[in-house]
Amino acid sequence: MAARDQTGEYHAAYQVDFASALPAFDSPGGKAYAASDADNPKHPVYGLVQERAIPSRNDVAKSLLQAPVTNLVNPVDQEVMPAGKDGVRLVTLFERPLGEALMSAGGVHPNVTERLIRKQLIPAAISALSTLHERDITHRAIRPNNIFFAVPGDNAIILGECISMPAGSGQLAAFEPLERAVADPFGRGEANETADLFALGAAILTCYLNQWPGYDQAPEAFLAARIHHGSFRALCGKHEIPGAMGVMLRGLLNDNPAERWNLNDLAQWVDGIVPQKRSGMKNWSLSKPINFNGKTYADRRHLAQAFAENIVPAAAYIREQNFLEWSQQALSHDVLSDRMERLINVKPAVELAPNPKADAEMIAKVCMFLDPAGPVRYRRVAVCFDGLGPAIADAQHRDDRDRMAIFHELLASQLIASVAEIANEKKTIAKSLSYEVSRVAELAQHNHLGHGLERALYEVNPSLPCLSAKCQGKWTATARDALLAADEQAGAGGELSTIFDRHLAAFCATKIQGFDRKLQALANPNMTGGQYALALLDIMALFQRKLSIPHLPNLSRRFAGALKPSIKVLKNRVRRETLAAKLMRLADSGSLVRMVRELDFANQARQDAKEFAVARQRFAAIENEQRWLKRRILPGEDQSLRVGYQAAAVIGFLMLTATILNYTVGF
Amino acid sequence: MAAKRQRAAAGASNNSFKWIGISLGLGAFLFVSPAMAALTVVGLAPTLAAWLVDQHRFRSLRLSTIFTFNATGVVPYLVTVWGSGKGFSAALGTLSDIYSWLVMYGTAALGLAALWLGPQIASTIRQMMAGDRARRLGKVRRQMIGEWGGEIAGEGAKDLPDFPENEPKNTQA
Repeated sequence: MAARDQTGEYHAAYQVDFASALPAFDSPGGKAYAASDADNPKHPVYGLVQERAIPSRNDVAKSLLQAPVTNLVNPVDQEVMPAGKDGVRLVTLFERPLGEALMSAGGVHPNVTERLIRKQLIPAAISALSTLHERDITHRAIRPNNIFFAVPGDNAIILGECISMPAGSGQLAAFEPLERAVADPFGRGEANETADLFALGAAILTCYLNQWPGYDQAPEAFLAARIHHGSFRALCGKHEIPGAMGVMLRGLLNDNPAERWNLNDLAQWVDGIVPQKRSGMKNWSLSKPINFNGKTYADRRHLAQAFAENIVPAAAYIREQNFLEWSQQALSHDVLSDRMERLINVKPAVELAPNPKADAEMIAKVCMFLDPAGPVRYRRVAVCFDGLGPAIADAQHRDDRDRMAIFHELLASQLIASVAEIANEKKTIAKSLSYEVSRVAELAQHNHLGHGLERALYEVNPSLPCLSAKCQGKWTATARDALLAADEQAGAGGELSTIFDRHLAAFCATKIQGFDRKLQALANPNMTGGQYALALLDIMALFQRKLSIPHLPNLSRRFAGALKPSIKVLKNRVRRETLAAKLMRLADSGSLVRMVRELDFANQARQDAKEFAVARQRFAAIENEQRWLKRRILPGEDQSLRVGYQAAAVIGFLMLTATILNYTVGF
Repeated sequence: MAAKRQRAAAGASNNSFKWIGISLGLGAFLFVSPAMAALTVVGLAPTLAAWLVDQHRFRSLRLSTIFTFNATGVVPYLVTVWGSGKGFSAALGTLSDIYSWLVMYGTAALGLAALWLGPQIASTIRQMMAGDRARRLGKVRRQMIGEWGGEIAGEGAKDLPDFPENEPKNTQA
């Protein structure tokens, strides 16, 4: 492993061989490579290079690094390091199982028997899951190809890693509880421990049958089978599972989470006690079958799915009905409250011109009303509330602009908040999650720098590094990293306005409290280049001060260059020269904080404008006076006459006085 | 209107007092020395003429000038008549001398010349002083342009009223 020290150099503690891929340990979160522990070569490890845009489960990783869990592939270290052509990445070092996976492309491992399942697999799973669940952590990646023999030739079993990818993202739909199976893989969410037990049941069934469930069916038909016959029957297909194994699998694959077996039930089963649990299906059936789009539907979850897949006819169908009456007839056991009716807000067709967006929004609400345990279904997107973050990250990762636009609509229109209220009303999601969803939607609603879908992305995926193109080849996991990346980018040239892009702004706004308020200064589209540079400098300086980064040489040089035009527009030459000299001195200091403080540009500009106005008035007065002074002064002007006459009078007075004195006194 | 009438009435009253004062003064002078009084009246005739006809707005300054110059020519003869103790005969002797007329009226003419020359000299001096002030202001302007750039000579000047607003108007005498 190569960890970066204070000087920025990488020092190897583990060696990752990027030429030796280990596809058996790959996950949706990244690719696995052979690795070795420099201090202990006998310690088997492998490294998993994290994909930039796929959020890892950092909180789970932290917990497992602090206290490893038995019968689980635990992480041993997690560091940022150069990962070949992929640039700098987060690499997680895992304990490497030396044995094979229970199931691979060639089918189930020959050692996997009913006895091994009972004696090794289930106890190992109970051991690992009980510890995880005690810590309020779900595994969410239990599948036969992520369960390994610890050592070749030995039957000890360990569950594969569960931190490199979003919960449930690597699972086949068959391994997900029915309510999450219809969601997009990255939108399945953390769920709870019952989802792990369902996945365990599906994994056991897969090993037992030596075939992937539903492999021979179209996804829609498989989903319909699960809805109509229950997941257990659908996953078994044509096979019968007799005896205790069948009882256990029926319990684990129960579609009602409240009735699904838990770890205690499973432990009892291992001990030979069959838990007595009521088994029945929650009533999802419609009061009477409904014909829609040429098909008949008897289950409200199935109808919800059909509505979501056919928005236009579904909207037309719903608008044709009196929704209140329709819901009373179709869902006689489910009362449509006034509040619910207001939330869904179905408007009759006569009131509206065709509006695809309004249709999609209405259908999303109706779907949530019909299947409140299911995901939010909006246009092409189906996402659980707690899977929103990874789903947006996945769209970003794939650069799927359409899906990103749908997510933006879903959040910005506050539709998700309305749908969350419906789910909340039905008590299928926690109030806190509903509030969190509304908060994120609020942030996505505004489109200025630091907000929008990018902000939502980082808010709901705290483990995600900054995905700005400016951070390409780097692992920018903290605001400090982001600022250093911006500094590096500044050194490479390009427009100053492009250094701080939407991703970088949203990322920093998520990491630094109060930062987005400052960003609003950049929202004015009429700003000149100089004004933009000043506003950005102000923000970056705040950033530098808060993060205590002493030296940002490239940014300070770029800002010095960008501020020159702003200095040039000052009127006073002395002020201009003084500020330019200061700017040049500060350009190499690397301190944006000093640049802001010592230049005090806003104040200087204000002072300059004020003094200029006064100087201009004075100049105009001087000009006028000069014009007056330069005219020809005539003797006939009052002033000339007065002065001339006064002088003459004085001379006359002096002459008279001298004469009188001369002739009287005699001198 | 009423105020105007009041001011006119007050002016008339002042003039009456002035006339009464002058009449009493002349009367007293005639009583003390009729010969000197006659010489004074004849000698200061230009001043009296100016006093009667001059309507200039700087009348008092002009009269002062003519009077002082005129009196400068008359005083020596008055002193001579007074010192001779001959009364009318000395006065008549003076008045019969063409040079005494020349001196008395010549000084009055000098007074008039001073009144013409004074404003000429004053305007020349003022022109020189204005030129000097304008040069100093030009230097200040150049300094200001150096400090603030050419933009300072922009629109501001046009917005201002002519300098100075209360300067007396350029009028001929």
